Amino acid sequence: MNKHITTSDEILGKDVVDPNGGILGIVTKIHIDMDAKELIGITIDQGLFSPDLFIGIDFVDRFAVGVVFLSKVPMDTYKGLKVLTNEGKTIGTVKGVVVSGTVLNELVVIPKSVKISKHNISIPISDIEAIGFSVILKKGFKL
Amino acid sequence: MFDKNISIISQNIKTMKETNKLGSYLGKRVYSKSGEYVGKLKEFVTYNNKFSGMLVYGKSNLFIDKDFFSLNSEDSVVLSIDPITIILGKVVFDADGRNLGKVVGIDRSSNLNNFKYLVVRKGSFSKQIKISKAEISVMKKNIILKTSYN
Repeated sequence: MNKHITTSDEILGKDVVDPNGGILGIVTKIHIDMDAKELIGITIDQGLFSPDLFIGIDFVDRFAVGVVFLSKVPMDTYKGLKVLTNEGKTIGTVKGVVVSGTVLNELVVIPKSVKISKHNISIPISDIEAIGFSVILKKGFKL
Repeated sequence: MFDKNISIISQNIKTMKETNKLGSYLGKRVYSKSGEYVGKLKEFVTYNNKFSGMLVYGKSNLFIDKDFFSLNSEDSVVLSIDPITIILGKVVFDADGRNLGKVVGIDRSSNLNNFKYLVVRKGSFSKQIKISKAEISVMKKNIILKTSYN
């Protein structure tokens, strides 16, 4: 058998790992276009308190022996991240993302309190220092 | 924050409104440069009678040199580094996605924010693997190696 061919039961149940090493969940479904006879994506079970996540095949880097590696971090995973200024002030949490195609333009942030802002805050990508376990904004960011 | 009647003896400080008590920072959350929670600010430390840094207690207990943080906010402290010790407990995948285990030790030759080897083990009775820095492709939420371990 060609070692570059795998089967659905080899893929189902595997961990899915993003480019930062983040473990997103396990593969529970494989999606196939019946007309084109092509694999178009996978569904990930992110755990008890998170919704399932569909990942298009374009986001899959490779089906490795141990895990499925993704080529990009799914922006849906930014939701719920805490947002901090570089000085350590907590602004709020990420509610959503604004994208152009696959490019992240902005984060939409629910403010921590009305003292910070009465409305959701849009933060452009140019103001973001790092997105990892939390979102850290660049020095000098002002609301 | 301060008592009203305070006499100031200082060349730099004009009014106490410009200042904060160091004690107000104790217990604050400390985050790494990439936003990972490191621990809570436990204590400030002096060296040769000068302010030198802080103790942070969390997954591991750290001394962070003052060069790696500034005290600007009342909410929390964001470091200018990702302390190497926060990789303890992270999962290590080889290039083929095999789970080699978790980081159980870090071989550091100095107190700098660097390391020579990571010690990885899958279970209590498993053999330890030493991973050099050169073998590592990604070291963020978890670790992905450049090489395969069969």
